This record gives sequence, C-alpha cells and structure tokens, in this order.
Amino acid sequence: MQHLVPNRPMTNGHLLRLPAEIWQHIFTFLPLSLPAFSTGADHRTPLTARPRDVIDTLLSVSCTCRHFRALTYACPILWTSLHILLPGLPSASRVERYFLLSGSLGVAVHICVLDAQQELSEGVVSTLAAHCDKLTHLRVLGPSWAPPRLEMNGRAAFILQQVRSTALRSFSLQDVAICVRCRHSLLHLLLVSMELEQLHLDIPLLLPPILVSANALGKLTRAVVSAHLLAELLMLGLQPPLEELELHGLGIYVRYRLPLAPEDDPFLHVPFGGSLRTLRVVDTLPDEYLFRFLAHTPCIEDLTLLACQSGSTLLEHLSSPSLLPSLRHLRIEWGTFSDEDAFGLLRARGGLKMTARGCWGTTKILGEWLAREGRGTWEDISRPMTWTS
Amino acid sequence: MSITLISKEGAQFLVSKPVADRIGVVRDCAYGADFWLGYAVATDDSMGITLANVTSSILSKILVWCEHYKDMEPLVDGDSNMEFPEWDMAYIGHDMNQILFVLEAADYLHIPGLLLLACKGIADVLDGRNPRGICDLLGIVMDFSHRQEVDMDKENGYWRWFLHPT
Repeated sequence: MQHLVPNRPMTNGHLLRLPAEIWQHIFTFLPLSLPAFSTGADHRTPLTARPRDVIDTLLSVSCTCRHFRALTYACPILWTSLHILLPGLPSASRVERYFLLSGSLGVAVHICVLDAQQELSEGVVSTLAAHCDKLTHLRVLGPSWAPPRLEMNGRAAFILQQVRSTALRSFSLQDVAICVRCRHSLLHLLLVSMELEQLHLDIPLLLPPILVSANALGKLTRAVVSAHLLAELLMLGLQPPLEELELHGLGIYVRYRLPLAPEDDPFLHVPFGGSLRTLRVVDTLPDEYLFRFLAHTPCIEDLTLLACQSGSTLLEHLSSPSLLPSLRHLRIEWGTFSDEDAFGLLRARGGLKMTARGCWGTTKILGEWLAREGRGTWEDISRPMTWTS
Repeated sequence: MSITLISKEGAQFLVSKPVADRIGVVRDCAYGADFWLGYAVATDDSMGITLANVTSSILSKILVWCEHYKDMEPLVDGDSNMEFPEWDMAYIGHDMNQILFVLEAADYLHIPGLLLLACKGIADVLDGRNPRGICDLLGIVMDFSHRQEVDMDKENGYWRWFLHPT
C-alpha cells in the first residue's frame, strides 16, 4: 500500500488549513501516557526509558507555533490530565500551566514514582495545594515489581496540611511506599475531601484517630483497600456507604485477629448495612472465616473470590438463601470443590450465575452444564492462569 | 448491488454497497434522493460518483478500511485512554504524510471512524517529541515573537529544555 501514497510532503500552510476542531481532536490523544501503560512502539517512551527522556507532548505542541499555541490554549479539556513523573517532568510551572489552562474544569493528577526514592518538590506541592479546589483525582503509583518510596520535606508537608478542602472524587495509592510526612499529608487531604467517592489503597495505611472527622469518607462508594484499613475505618465509626469493595489481606487480618473474641471484631459488630452490592476478596481464606464476613453483607449481588481456595463448605452454606439472599453472580478462581457441590448450589439458587476458573475438583461436565443451561462459564486449571482484576 | 467511485484522476473503483455505506458522502449521494423507498440512485454501474478531492492512491487505501469495517462498527469516539484494535494501528501506520492525507480525505468523505483513527495516528507520531522535533516533522516554522518567547519562559521554564534537551 505504501507505494500508492503520494510522496510529496505537506506544507506548513497545508497543515494549518486543517480545521481547528480536527487539530483539537488530535490533541485530545496527546496527554502523556504512564510509562507502564506505554505501547513501547518505535518513538514512544519504552518502559525502560530514562525518565529524563519522557516529554510532555501536549506542552511541546503548544510551544511550536502561534497557531498551535492558540488551539491548545483554547481547549481546556486538553489540560485536565496531568502526569508528574519522578524523576523527570516535575516542574512547578508546568503544573501551574495545567491548572490555569484547564479553566473551570477539574484536573486529574497522576504522580508516577519511577525510581527507588524520590522527593516531591516543595514547588510542586505548593502548586497542588493552591489548586486543591480543582484537584478532582489524585493517583500516586509506582512499578509493582519494585515499589519505590515517595518522600516530602517538612515544609512541603506543612503546606499540604494547610489545605482546608479539596474537590477530590477519587484517591489512589498503588505500589508506592510513602514517608511519614507524606502519609500524614495525604491522610489530611483525604479527611478534608468531602466529595470522595473512590478510594484505592493497596498498602497498609493506619489512620491516626486524631485526624479522623465524622463526616470524612461520607460519599465513598467504591474502594480497594486492605482489610486492616477497612477494620480501622469501621472501628473509628466511619461507615462509608460502600457499594463496591475489593478487599485484600483478609486472610492475614483474620489470622491476626483470631485471639480476639468475635464481638471485638469490627467486621462483626459494625456491619456494612445495606449498601454493599459488589465484593471482591483477594486472599487465601478458610471458608469458616469467609462466612463470618459475608453474614454482615446481606445485599451483595456480585461476589468474586480470587485465590480464596473456597471449598465445598462455602458452596453448601451459600445454598441456603439466608446467606447472601440477593446473590446473582458468583465468581471463583482457584477454588477447591467438586462438580456436585456446584450443582447443589446452582440447583438451590435458580437465578444464580457462576464463573469457575482453575477450580480443583471440577470437571468439564460442570462447564458443559453451565454452557448448556446458560448459567455461567468454566475454565480448566491446566490453562495458563491470568487473573482478571 | 455495486457503486462506482471515481477518483480525482478519473480512476474507477467498483465497490459493494456495504463498503460504500461506510463513506458518508457516497451514502448520502447514492441513497439520499430515494432513501425511503430503498432504491439507490446509482444502481447502474455505468453511473459513478466523482470524488474530486481524493486521489486514487488515498481512495484505494480508504477502501481497504471500508472493506474491513463493512460488517463491523468502528470506534467513532475516543480520548487518550482508548485502545484501538491492532488492525487499525497497523493500517494507519506511522507515516505522517500518509496519515494526513487519509485524515483530510476522511474528513471530506464523512467517515468518522477513519477520521478518529487518523487523529490517533497523528497523535502517536507526535508523541514523545519536543517542539523542535514536531516542527521538523510537520514543517512548521516557529513564529513566536520575542515577547511571546519571553512570556513562555516566564510561564513555563520548562520550555527551553523542551527546545534544547541536552
């Protein structure tokens, strides 16, 4: 096909004649993609690139000529996603540009920590703090294979802790260890974020009770957290109206709490009420402890158990409509139960759909039955295991 | 039923209805007059629709895309987070000139899916380039006044580094 295309180059004037809305459409594809999600194609930043090589293409375009500068500056939506890469691209003036050019729109900030130990500069922190009323999404993340550490000096932490309110709707901290100053500052941001709807914390983060206010997390509907953190929230009287919850480390938590009497367990005497609809549990956990938890989540419609090694006891209990009466979809990966257990559950609950992947003890008979009846899917354990998270 | 498309140079391309349906201009031209009766105006192969602004080479490339999407719905809306199918990315390639011609033609012919893909293709080629690199690629002359350069330095100290990364 290449030989069919004219070789004559387009001229500057020819390019500039393209309608403004087409250029703006092109520019909407420019916001910096995170290195981990980069395609790695030819000229793009490969995963192993030095952070210094990473360039903010949108800002580059705005610095090429007057026409492009006017086009990019006239389109606030282009400036609503800001990536701060550490090291590299940390300039406070660049952060300021994004907040100013985004006009009245909210800005999503992604802080990507690429190296072992990085400090978020005071200038960047000051700029972020000054524009907290426009900061709608904050995500701090690092490479999962070697979680780095994010540092912040005392002055920067102090500046961040002076923030009185934010527009944060989602907050995410993934695969990054943070220093004590960072932790306190980020917790402070959380606690003054009255609009927070989504929380994703995959590191143990203990909440200092003194910082907790009664109305914080009041709008939180989606969360990915460790069991320890959730227990702390519940213990402190914070009962966010969660609708979707992904829980990590429940097995470790339960074993840690085993010596305690059941009535002392926050999971048991501070139930979720009727809000929780979707639950994903990611951990190895004996069936009996899973019941204890599920007994207090009566409105769950979608239950996913990843690597829980759930067995026949769980399926037997689920056959009783008193446990999770609203359950519509059960997804189990790495379970240990037989075809008969599954058939028993599916016959007892007519409307239930089941997805079983890599479950020991099940055979293709179950898979064929599920497909024939339109009740779900089954996958053999011998297939390569790729968790869908 | 098939329709004949005539390129700028006068070359004729005989295409089937599902392929022609992907091209908004052709669809409107061929069926617009008698749409409600379901008859095409250009039912006779001897009749053709002239696409005066599209060269043969670009039209043939566009028809490859239309042929691929004759039974599928292409993406017609997206942003930086959207993942395009592998076939699309391979089709559009990284040749800036070629993509720009396809983009112009897609705009002229009213093919929203191809227009979006071409926008994504151009953005991918621009991605990771500093201002100097973008100017060289697109043949753009930096036409900032001295005052504007001073302003840019004030508002964005990063700019100089962009121009001359050492």
